[in-house]
Amino acid sequence: MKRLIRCSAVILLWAIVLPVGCATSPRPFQYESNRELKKGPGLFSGPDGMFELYRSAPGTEMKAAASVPPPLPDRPVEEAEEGSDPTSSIQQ
Amino acid sequence: MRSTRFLQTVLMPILFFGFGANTMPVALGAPLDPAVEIEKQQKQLDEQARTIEALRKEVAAIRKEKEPESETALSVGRQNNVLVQSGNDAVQVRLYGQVNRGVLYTHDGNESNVFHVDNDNSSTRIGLLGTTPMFGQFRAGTKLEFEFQANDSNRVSQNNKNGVGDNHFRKRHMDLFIEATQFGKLSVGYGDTASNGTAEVDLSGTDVIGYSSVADMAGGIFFYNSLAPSGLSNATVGDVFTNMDGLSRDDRIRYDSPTFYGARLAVSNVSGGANDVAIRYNARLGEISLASAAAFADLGGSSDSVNYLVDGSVSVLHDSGISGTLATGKAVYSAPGKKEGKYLYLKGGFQKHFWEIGLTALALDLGFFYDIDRNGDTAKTVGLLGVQQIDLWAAEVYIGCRHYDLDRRNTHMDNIIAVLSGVRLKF
Repeated sequence: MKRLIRCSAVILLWAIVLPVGCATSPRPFQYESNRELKKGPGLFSGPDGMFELYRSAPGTEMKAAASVPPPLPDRPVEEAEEGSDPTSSIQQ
Repeated sequence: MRSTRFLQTVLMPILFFGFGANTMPVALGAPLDPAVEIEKQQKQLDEQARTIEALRKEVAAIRKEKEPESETALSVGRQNNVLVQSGNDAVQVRLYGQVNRGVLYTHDGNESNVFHVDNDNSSTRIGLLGTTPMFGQFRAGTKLEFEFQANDSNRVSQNNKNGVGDNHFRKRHMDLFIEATQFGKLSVGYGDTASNGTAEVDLSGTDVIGYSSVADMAGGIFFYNSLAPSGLSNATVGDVFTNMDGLSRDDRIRYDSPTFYGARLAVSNVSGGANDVAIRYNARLGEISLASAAAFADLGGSSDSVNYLVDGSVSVLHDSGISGTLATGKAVYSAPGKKEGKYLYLKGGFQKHFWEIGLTALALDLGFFYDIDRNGDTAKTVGLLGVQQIDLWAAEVYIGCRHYDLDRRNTHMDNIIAVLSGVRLKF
């Protein structure tokens, strides 16, 4: 009985797959298990489904440095320049 | 004469003292009380001091608002939409995870139980994935993933209803890899062996509640022997239903070949001496998506009970939403006289967007498991599974009902019914 069930299932499956496979040329298909981490958006992480903690690109450091605003008028210039390199504080 | 008086009484005070209200009486020759004048001026000074203090506080508040955005690591991160910074260009670090909780009802023929569980079909977990280009087409990365299950659905039982689980994070991946499209992927660390997942290919969209590892739903439940005085047997669902899915995750070194016409070969060597080899083939054939895998695992001396495992699975999904899945496997045990364990798992499913909130997937599955725990055992299961995706919340609501049946020689085992319903939410 169990052998019959197994043979029937295998035959049925290949009866479906083989004609289609022979009739058409296969195209790439990426299988990813739905139980690992489902593709698609996350509730909090948005469309990517992951929180991007860091993504660098050439010129990032320049942008970060440029983002530091000039010191306020009533603030000593020396104090503002002391920590002007934004990456230094981050690397610590 | 008139003009002289006008100059004395009006213009001169204006020229010398201005129009201040307090000066007018003086200029006009009103009686001057020094004490009153000093008190008035003191009030003015106090008022001016309060104004200056208020302005000072306002400036300090404005500065405080500005500083976090300009000088802290967080602010620099915000400027670039990141929280941390690296000295290495083109690095990408991502955090991901999910929570999967449900309510499990079981009835063993004697008693019913309700458990609040972590669905072991796809456990609650969190991970960190980092990648960076190396040289040429090569890319390197790390994957750290941990699960934290409280009351695992496959471990709760009639004797252990609450507080089940390790109460700490369990490793799933502690992996580093280097890969290139033309050369494949080399992984070192704790992670998937080559054969892991080869018995679990499933395109039905319902594997969050049921797949070939049918014991994930209620694996810890003991079969009840209503004819024995002791009642509960020592056989659990997990003992007699196993999908022989290769070597699972372990400390290993693994190599995956590049993809050739949809096929990919993988081999791994596991700490302790086990080895495995697997092949996967995925393709789109007309209107059908096909995913398949097969593996052979030699456990060497790493297992006291199993010598070899052979397993495979194939799943097809037609564009109409109809799907079919088959999984099978065989285990060769080391115990003298122990017969080979084997199983066959079948699933038919249908998935469609019945409404706008997300895909609905339904499936019916059958499983036949032979000689796994003891010679002569025949374990059967049938399950009805339903999953509703809720795209807006990145969640899936599911319900599954499964019937477990064990025929054991000279022993009567009552059937077990399990119903698991819950939500998986990807955050």
